[in-house]
Amino acid sequence: MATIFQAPKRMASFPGRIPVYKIPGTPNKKQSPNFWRNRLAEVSDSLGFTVVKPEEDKNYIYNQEGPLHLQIFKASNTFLFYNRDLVGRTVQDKEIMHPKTAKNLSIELLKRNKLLYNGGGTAFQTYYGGDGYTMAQTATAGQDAYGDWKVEAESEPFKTEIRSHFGYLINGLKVFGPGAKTIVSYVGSELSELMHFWRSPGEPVSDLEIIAPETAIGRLCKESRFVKVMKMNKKHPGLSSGRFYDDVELGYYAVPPVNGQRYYAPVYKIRGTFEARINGFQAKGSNIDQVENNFRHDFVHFVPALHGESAAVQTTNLKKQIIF
Amino acid sequence: MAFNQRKKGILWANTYASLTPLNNSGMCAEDFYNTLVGTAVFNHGDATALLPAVDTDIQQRSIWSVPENGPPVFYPPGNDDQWAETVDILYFCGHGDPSGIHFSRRGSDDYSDEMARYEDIKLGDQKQIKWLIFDACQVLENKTQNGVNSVFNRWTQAFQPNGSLRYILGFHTTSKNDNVRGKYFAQKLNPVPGGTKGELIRIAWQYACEITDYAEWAILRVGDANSPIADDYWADTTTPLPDVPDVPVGGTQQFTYQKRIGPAPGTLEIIS
Repeated sequence: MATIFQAPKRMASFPGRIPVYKIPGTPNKKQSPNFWRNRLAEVSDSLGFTVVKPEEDKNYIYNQEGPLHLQIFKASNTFLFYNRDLVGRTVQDKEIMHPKTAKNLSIELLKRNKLLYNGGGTAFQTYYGGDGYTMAQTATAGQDAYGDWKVEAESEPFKTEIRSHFGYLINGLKVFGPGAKTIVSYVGSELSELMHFWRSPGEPVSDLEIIAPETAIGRLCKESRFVKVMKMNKKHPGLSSGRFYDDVELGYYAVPPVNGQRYYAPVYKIRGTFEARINGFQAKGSNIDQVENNFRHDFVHFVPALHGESAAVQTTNLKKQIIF
Repeated sequence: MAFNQRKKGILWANTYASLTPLNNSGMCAEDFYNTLVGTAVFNHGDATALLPAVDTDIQQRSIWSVPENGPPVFYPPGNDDQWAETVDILYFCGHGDPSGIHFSRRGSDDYSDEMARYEDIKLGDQKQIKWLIFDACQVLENKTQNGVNSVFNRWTQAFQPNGSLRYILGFHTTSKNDNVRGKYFAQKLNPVPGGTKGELIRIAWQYACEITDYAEWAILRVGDANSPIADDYWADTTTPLPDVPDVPVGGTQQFTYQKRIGPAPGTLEIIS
């Protein structure tokens, strides 16, 4: 492979063939108005508030009551709920729950609302992915000789919200992408946010042949941005370099909840880094210095893993269903 | 001011001379521009745009020339007074790193390096620009507390004392160059059908990032942790924006930074 990118030393497992799943009931934008009103009432009820005045456009249906906000994404039939008075704040006036307590409360909430999938004959399941936080930090700045702000003191960073993260597996493989995650957040003991982005797969459509991870890397290197980088490097040798990380993973991909998706198809997740040296100028007081910057860009690409020659790929038109 | 009179501008870059090309900056920024309710002022991008986006669009007079005999000469001026300073909200989409944002094209001067660094961006002295969005990797990275490279040390310089700039919104980590983030952000900022106000700017940005990525969003704003500036809206017909407090010469200003941090990588626990 003629590339400035070093290949990874370790590759993903390569089963040869993998099932592709249809996502039933999509695209959902075509559902009747009553379907969405009922869905809004159902989700609102499960979260403990009532629908007074639903608002709707072609992409979303909303329920707002005081600081409570629920938005259903019609393209995916997934939802986002938050309490505007609590979510993503910068004040810490309530104790942050212990991660285990937050995790247990979140699991209870998901179970109660039938949003947690743990087998029972389905090919997919929810996993707990760990705890995250909203963090805040403050600083006081005075003015320097040029009249610009100059920081005098910074506070320690502090946590304002704890967020339990959940992900999804299909057939034991991770579902990557922003359309497959559930996050439950608390400020003190109050629910501040519930984000539930998940489209449950139906029965597998078929087992399709997939490419080897090495082939996926080769496919990526033919993509226009990599070709451009390699051309640049040929013109100015040594100015740029890159490498793929060793953790190439096979999984499925879920597009953002604002988009429709009809199939879960396999992808390889390929991470790497690119570095370039760029010459430039920098002003310092009344001088101009010529400087050399090292630009480093970490990247993640999801490369479709289905074999390109597969007739089934064309008939199910899978490629159009995945946006990268 | 009615929010539909607020002014909006975008800068975006897909094609770079020295960096990896991007695919989605134009679509992301232009969808933001076309979706947000407000007065369109400028759309600067690369080859397909009417006018090119260049570093001087957002840079103040930041580079000085020192002739052998004579006083330092101001050369060349940035053009932020013609572009970035003329709008209420400015959305940039392209490459970024902790030291600034990268452009596709050179400005018309010898010193253009296709990059606007944090030292070169000083906004708000024309009392117009309020919210600045860097939809680009790592611009608001904060790894070094109290160090010269802390986010406060780098980016508070962009807020002119007694100026109008209130927020910089961006990412702490590498982010995905996404084609729907700008549109969803604008949709959240706009009032919902039948409503009188849109979403808080910080919440709109948070969810524009959450629905499109696993990246860790970040926001730097004027004011302390309790400041009402935390609750700025783009679209609100009922409440005027709280003022940024005036600071006397030599006085101090408070700044607040917030970010989301995700779980440690590799955690995967099946729930029974």
